[in-house]
Amino acid sequence: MASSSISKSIKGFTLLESIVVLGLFVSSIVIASQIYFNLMRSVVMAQSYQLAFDNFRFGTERVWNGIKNGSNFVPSLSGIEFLDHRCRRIRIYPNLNNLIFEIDDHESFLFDNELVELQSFNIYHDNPVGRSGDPYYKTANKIFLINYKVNLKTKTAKIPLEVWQTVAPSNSVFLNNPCQ
Amino acid sequence: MNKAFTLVELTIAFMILLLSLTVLAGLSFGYLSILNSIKTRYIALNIAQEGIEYAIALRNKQIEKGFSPWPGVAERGSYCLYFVTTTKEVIAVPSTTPCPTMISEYRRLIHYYDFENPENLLLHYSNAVRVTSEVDFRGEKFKLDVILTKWHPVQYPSP
Repeated sequence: MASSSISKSIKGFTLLESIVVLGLFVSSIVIASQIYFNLMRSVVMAQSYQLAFDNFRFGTERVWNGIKNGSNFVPSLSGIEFLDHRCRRIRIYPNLNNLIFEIDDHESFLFDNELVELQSFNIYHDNPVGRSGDPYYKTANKIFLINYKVNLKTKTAKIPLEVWQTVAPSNSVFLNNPCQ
Repeated sequence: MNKAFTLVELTIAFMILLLSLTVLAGLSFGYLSILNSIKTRYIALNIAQEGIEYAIALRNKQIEKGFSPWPGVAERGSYCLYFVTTTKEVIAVPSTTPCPTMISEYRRLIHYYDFENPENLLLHYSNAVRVTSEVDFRGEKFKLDVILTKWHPVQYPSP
């Protein structure tokens, strides 16, 4: 009599109910973890993309500032040599998927190898009309066009980026050579 | 007596769960979208700066050749400036609509005005011109300004 009353008041789940609940639980966990992993991957990718982009931007600004305030340019298609505002010899040229920024024979990479991979680097420039012995403003280059093609490295992918940079050097209309 | 969840309770619970996941996903996509916007602005400002540099180089090339500083842009108005890699010259073409640039989808127009008298139509005798480089990217506009003088080391010595 007593056992019959217990079997009536305490009722367990059926096997089907348990399987359905377990199935729902597992699928919700799978969906939530997928969303979480995608979210984390996006955040990591965004952070490393930002780092790579900033590194590229700082590097190119260094080149732009150097040329803007520089003088005595000797450009070629894939590199440039000039004197900076302190009349130090600067050379910029590509090497091993990076750019070398050389100051008075001291070489250093312009970009962080872990963040930026250089694909190509080209320089276009005008042809001054002056000859040797003419005032500086007749022989100095007036414009440089620089084309960078790079891959920004993130943890999961390489993002291609192409940038054109144009510089008209400030010193190019001086009568005398600024580094005479 | 044990009571099961009602359909309304379950729906509300799922809605809350879904909302929290949507907010999290939105935050992540928002971050990516901000980064994309930074890249767009960087390229647009680079192209606007390129226009300013062309204007400076155009004036400096005239100085190099011993000409007046503003040929090619002698009238107030809008121009497209280019560097032609074959002839190695900067050229100015009058235009009313923005022109294509080296990067597709970005278009640029450069406006020239007399700095001292903006109503002046002829810039030939202007002492200074205001150059505005305007870049258009999918309807969004980016502008940079510079004032250029006709200063010249030989023709216009400082007093």
